[in-house]
Amino acid sequence: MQHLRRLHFGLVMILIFVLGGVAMAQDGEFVLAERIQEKIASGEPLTIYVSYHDVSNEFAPFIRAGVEQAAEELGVDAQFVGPVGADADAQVAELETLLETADGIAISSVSTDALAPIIDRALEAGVPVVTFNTDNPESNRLAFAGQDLVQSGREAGELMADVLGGEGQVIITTLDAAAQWSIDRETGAREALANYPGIEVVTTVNTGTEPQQIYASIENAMLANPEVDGILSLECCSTPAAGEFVQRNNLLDSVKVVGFDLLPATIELVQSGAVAATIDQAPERQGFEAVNMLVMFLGGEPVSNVDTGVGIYTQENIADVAEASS
Amino acid sequence: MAQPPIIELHGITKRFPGVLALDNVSFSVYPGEVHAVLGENGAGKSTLMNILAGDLQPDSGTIVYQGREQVIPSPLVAQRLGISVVYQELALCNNLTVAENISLSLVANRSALSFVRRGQFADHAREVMKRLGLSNVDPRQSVGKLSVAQQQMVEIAKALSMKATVLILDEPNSALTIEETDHLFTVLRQLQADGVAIIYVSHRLEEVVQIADRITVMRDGRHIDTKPNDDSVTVESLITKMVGRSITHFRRHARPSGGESQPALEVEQLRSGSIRGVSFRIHRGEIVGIAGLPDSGKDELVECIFGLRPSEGAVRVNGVVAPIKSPVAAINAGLALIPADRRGAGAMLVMSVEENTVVSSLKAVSRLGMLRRPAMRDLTRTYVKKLDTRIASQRQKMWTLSGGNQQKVILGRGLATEPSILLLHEPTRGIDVGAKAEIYDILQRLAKDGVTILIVSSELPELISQCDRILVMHQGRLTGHFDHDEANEEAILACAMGQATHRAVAQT
Amino acid sequence: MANLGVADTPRTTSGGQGRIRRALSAREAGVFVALILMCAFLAVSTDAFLSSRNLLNVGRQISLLGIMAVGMTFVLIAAEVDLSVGSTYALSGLMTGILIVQQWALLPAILVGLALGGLVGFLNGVLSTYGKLPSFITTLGMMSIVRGVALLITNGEPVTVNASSGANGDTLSQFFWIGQGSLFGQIPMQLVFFIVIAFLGWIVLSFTTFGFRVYAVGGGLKAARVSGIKVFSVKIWAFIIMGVLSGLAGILSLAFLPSGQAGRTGVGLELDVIAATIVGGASLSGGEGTMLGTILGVLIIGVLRNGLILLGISPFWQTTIIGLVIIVAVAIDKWTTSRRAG
Repeated sequence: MQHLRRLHFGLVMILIFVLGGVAMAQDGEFVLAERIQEKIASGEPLTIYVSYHDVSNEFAPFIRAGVEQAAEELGVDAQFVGPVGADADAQVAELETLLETADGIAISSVSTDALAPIIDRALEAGVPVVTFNTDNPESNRLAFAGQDLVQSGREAGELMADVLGGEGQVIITTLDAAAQWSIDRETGAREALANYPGIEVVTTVNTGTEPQQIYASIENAMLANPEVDGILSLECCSTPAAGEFVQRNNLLDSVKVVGFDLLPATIELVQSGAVAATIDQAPERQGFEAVNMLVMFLGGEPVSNVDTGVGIYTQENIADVAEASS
Repeated sequence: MAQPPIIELHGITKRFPGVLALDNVSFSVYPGEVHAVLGENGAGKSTLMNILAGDLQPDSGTIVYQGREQVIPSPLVAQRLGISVVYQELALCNNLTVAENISLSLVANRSALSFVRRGQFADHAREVMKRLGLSNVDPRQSVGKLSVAQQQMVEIAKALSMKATVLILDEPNSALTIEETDHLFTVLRQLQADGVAIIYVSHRLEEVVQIADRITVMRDGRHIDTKPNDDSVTVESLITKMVGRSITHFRRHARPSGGESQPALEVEQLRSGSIRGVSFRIHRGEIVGIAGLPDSGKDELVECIFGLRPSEGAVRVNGVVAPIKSPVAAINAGLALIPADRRGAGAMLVMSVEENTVVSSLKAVSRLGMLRRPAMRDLTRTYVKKLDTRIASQRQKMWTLSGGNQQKVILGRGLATEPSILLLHEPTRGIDVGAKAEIYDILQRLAKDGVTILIVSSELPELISQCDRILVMHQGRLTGHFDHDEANEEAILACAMGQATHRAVAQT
Repeated sequence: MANLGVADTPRTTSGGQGRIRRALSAREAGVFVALILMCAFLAVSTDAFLSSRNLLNVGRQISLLGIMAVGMTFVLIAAEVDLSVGSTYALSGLMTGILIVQQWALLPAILVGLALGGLVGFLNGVLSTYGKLPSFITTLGMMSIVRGVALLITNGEPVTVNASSGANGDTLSQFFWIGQGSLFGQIPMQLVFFIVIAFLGWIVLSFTTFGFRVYAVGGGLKAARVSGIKVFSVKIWAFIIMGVLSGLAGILSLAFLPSGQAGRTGVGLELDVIAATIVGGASLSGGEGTMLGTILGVLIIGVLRNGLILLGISPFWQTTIIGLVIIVAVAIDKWTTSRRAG
C-alpha cells in the first residue's frame, strides 16, 4: 500500500510538471496568483466573472440582478456571462478566454464532467473559483452557493404527499430527465414519496424544453394515465404548464400540482389554486452569494458552502410575492 | 485482318421489363481496327457497351474474349481483362489533378491503407500522355479547369493507363470542335497502329465514315449489318439502315426569299463580353444560321438576344425597339428560345409533359391567377399533335422521355407562346437521327407559316442543309455571310477560324 | 439507356384513367397506408387513442407544426430550405405578446408580429437569390440573428401575457380565444387555423399560377428562367409565406400558453417542420411535394408522438423512433423511385 501510494504521488508530480502547472501546492492547497495579490494590494476594483449555464433561460435575469446588486454593494466589477442555450463547449471556451483577466470566477455548470477540468485549471493558475446554482462536486471548487438539490427534491416530495393526504398516483415531469440537477431533485422527491406507502410514482415524463412540447407531453401523459392524482414538476417550466393543464380541464379538485420557482405564470396559477405549492430557490440570492463568497475569499476570510434555502409558497402566502413582483 | 478476333459476340440477348433491349446480337471485333457501332437511341448500343464493360449481364448468349469464353461480372473484371470504356458523360474527379485521375486505376486496386506516392503518379501520367501526344496539358493541373476536349483526352489516357486492349468510346465527340476531333482521330489512329481494338459509338455519321474501318448498324435491339467502310458507304445509306426507311426531309424546302419586307429581327452593334459588335437582320419566314467555333461568341450572342445575359446595342423586333433585359421581356417581345443545355436549361425533368409545355404560357391557361386545367390539357394536346411528340400520357414525367421527344416538348413550349421569332441553340445535340429529321421538318414548316428562325449550331451540315442564310462568327465578330446556295463546309470553316472573310460587311 | 422502352412506347391519348392514383401519388399513398396502420395499431393496443378527446388533442398538438409545414412545402418545392423558422416563431409570438402587454389593440399587435415574420422571410429570400448565398447558410445565420433579436427585445425575461402584466382585459380575452377557444365547443381554434391554412396552401400550390411557378423554379431553375419565370421573385415570395406562417404559429402558441421565453420558445422546431414536410414527400432538391403529402407527414409525426406516449414508451426511445421514421420514409421513396428510373 505504502509503495503504491508513493508511486501514485510520483505520477501526480510528473503530471503536474508535464502540464506545467506548478502554482498548486503539493498538498492541493490553493495559492492565489501573484497578479491578483498585487491587485488586491493596490486596491484596484476586482474583476469577477459569474458564468451561468444558460444566460437565455428564465432564471438568468434574476441571477443577473443578484450579481449586479452584489457588484454595487461590494464595490467590485462583477460580470454576468455564459452561453446562450445550455452549451457546455461554449461555456468552457468562454471561461478559457476569461481566465487571464479574472480575479475570481463563479460557475454554474452546464455539465459536471465538462466543466470540472476548467475549474481545476483555473484553481491551478491561482484564480479562485466558487460554484453557484448548480454545483460541480467533481472539481476542487472552493465553495458552493445554492440550493441543495436533493434536499429541495425531498421538500417537493413531502409537499406532494401532504397535499394528497398520503394517498394517490403521481407523475413526475422534468424538461431534461438526464440533467444532473434533474436527477438530484428526482432522487430527493422519490426518496420522500417512498415513505408514504399509499403513494405510487407512475412515471417520469421528459417534456423537452419547448413550451408547446411541454404542454403536449403533459397532456398526453395524463391521457395515458387517467388515474393520476398529482403532478410533481421538478423545475420552473413544466410547473406552469401542468397548472394550465389542470386549470383548463377543470381538474382542480382531482389533480394536485407541486412544482418549482416563481415565474409570473406560476404565481398566478398558485393564486387560482391550480398549482398547490411551489418551491422558490431565490435566484437573486444565489447570484449575490456567488459574488459575495469570492469577495470574502479574496479579502482573506474563510468561505464555506452557503445554502440559499427553499421558500415554500402556497395560496396562503403567495400574495407577498405577487405584490412584490408587480 | 489475318489475326483472330479479340471479341466475338454470340447471340447476346438482354431483356428489361417491357422491352427487348438486345435480340440475339452477334458480331466480332478485331485487334487494330476502329469498329463503329451505329443506331438510333433505343437501338441497343448502350446496353451492349454496358454488357462489355461488365455493368450489365446478358440474359443469354456468350462473349468470347481472346479466344476464350468469358463472363464479365463487374467493371473491375472488365478493366483487368483490358476492356476500358470512355463514357459520354465524363467520369473524372474534377478536384483531382490530371496525373491523379490518370493514375486512379493504380490506386483503385490497392488496399485502402497502402501509401500513395504522388511523384509516381506524375511519372506514370507523363508517360501515358506522351503516348497520346498530350503535350499541352500540365499533369499537375486540376481536371476541373480543363476544356471538355482535354478532359476527354484525360479519360482516354486513363483508359490506356489500365493497359487497355479494347477501348470503347461512347459518343466521344458530341462536345468537341472540329480541330479537337481531328486530334482525337490522330490519337485513335496511333492506338490502332499499336494493335488496340477501338469500338466507336457515335451519332455523327460524317465522322464515322471518316474514321471507321468497319461499321456495325443496330436497330430495335437487333444487329442489322456489319460491313467494311468502303467507297460504297455513304451517310445516306447508313441513315437508311439505321432508320429502316430513307429519310427524305433532310433537305431544306425551296422557298422564295422575303427580302423586301421589313426585317422581323434586327440586331445592331450588339456588344457583351467577348462579343464585339454584331449586326444583322432576319426577315419574316427566314431561317438563318450562326456558325462558329466554341469561343467565337455565338453561344453568348443568342443568350444576349434572349435577355439571359446583359448586353449593349439595339435589338428590334418587327421594327420596334425591344429593350430585352430579361427572358420575361424577350417572351413578351415575341421571342422564344430553345436552349442548348436540354437537360439543364430546357427540360424540367421532374415535371410532367403538360407542365413543361405550358410553363411559358401561364397567362393563356389561367384566369385571375387560377390555373385552368382543361386549357392546360388542350394547349399541350395541340402541340403534342402538331409536333408528333411520342408520349404515353401528358402527365408523364419529362425524364422518362427520349432526348428527341424532350426536345419536341421544349419546342412545343416555345411555340405555345406563339412567337414571331424562334431562337434555337444547338437544337439537335444528342438527338437521334430520326427525331432530328422530324425537327428539321417542323422548322421548315414553321418558316413557311411565317415564323422567323435563328439557329445557332456547331453542326455545319445541319446549318448548310436547313438555313436560307448562314452567318459565321469569329472572335466576337461576324466574318462570313453565306446564302444557301454558296454555303459549303470548307468556306464556312475558313471564316470560323479567322482565315477568311466572306461578304461580312454587306448584310441585309 | 436512360430512355429504355419509353421512346418506343406506343402513343396513347391521356384519358381519364387512374383518377384516384392521380389524386394520391405513390408516395402519398404509402404515407397514407402507414398512417392508417399506425392508427389501427394504436386503436387496438390503447384505450385512450380513439377517444375523441385524444384525437382532438392530437389535432391541436400538430396544428402549429402543420401551419409551418405548409410554408415549408413552398420553400422546399422551390429547392430552398429555411432553418430560421423556429426563431421567427419565437420572435413574432413574443413581439405580439409584448405589444399586447403594452395595451395595444389585438389586431395591430398581431399584424406587427406577422409582418416581422414576413420581414425575416423577405430577408432570407433576398439573400438567397440576389445575394447569391445558399439558403442553408442564410437561414442558418438568420436562425441565430432572429433568436438573438428575440432575446434582446425581451432582455431574456419570460413574456407573460395576463391581467397582472398590464394587458387590457378585452384584448386578453380575444387573444386567448384565438389560442384556446374552440369552434362548436369542440374543435380547438389552433386546429381550425391549421385546417384553413392547409386548405389555402393547397389551393395556392395546386391551382394558381404562383404555385405552378414554385414547382417550375424548383424543378429546373435555369429552365424556369428561360421559360420567362421571374425566378428570384418566386423564391422570395416562398420565403415570405414561410416567414408569415412561422409568425402566425408563434402568435398562436403564445395565445395558447400565455408565457413565452426567447431562449426556449420554438428551439429545434425547424427540424420537426422540415422532417414532417419531407416525410410527406417533398424533396430537398426541389420540384417535388404536395400539400396533401405534407399534411399526411404532419399527421404521421403527430400520431407517432402521441402513440409512443400512450404506449408508455421511454422518452429516449421516442426520440430514436421518430428519427428512424424520417429515414425510413425517405429511403423507401428513394429506393422505389430509383428502381422506376431504372
